[in-house]
Amino acid sequence: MLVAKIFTFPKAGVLDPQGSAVKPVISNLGFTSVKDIQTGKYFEVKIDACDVAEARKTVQELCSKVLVNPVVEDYEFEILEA
Amino acid sequence: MRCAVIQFAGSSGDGDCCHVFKNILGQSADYVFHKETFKPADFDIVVLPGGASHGDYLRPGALAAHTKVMESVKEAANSGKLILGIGNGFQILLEAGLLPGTMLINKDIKFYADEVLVKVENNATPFTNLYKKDEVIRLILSCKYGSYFADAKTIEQLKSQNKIVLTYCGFGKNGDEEDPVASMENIAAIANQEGNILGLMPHPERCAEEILGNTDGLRMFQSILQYFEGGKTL
Repeated sequence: MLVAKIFTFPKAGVLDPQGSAVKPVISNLGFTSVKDIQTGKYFEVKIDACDVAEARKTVQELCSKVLVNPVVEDYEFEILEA
Repeated sequence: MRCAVIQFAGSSGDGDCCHVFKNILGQSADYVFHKETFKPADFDIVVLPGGASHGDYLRPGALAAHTKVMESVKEAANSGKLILGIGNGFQILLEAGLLPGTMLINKDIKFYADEVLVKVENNATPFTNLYKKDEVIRLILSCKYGSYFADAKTIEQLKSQNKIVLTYCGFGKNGDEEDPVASMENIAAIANQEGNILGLMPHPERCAEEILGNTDGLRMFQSILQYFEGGKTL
């Protein structure tokens, strides 16, 4: 069994109002070194696949079909042994 | 006119839509559950109502867009049947790829529920033929993800093909509140290229009776009836 760890985040240039709302709060807390913050989503998907290449294909299909909205989101993922 | 109102898990505008078609316009209206299918010939118009379908989980409309009934909705859309998506129904049409673009969370991250003023940019559609072009009407907006977004090419296409049907021109009772939504090009409603699919964020079914204090939304439903019956106004 393999597990895919998928991160989705807004594409460059797409407004991220949640990130914008969190940023001033973090500044107020005194984290002066934090310059920017972007919100996203995290999915953990267990996949019964023969090898990483097969699991990778499944993840890409899953993302393009439903998990990710390609109009406004990009994604990254890694595949590990469960 | 035979109308289908789709019921997704969590739909809340289904009853109001059915009520308008049945009790106000005197037409036939049936609910279709999201696990069911239908044939294009079964209905003249399919309504995807508002209400956070499937909990708005993942993204608004994303889960509803992949339910079984949507295969039938796509088939009906491709055979030229009218499809009307209201609020979350609009988001479902976007996620299903039946309309271009997507909805982002409102600029101020709040759920907005109040009256809005919208301008009729295109009255040559089956959904708006009883409004005057550039007429400003009052509808109800009720959404958290109402900020329409699309790439520059899509926006250009919508504009050049006159597919932006309604635009926001005022928020709140007096229309003087700050825009909480920040929708691109102030888009409140768009149609597909063929013109048989309309997605709109405001809720015409919530202002379709005198008792509700506003009947501006009724003319959208009457327009649809007019489209089928031709030349006859109610």
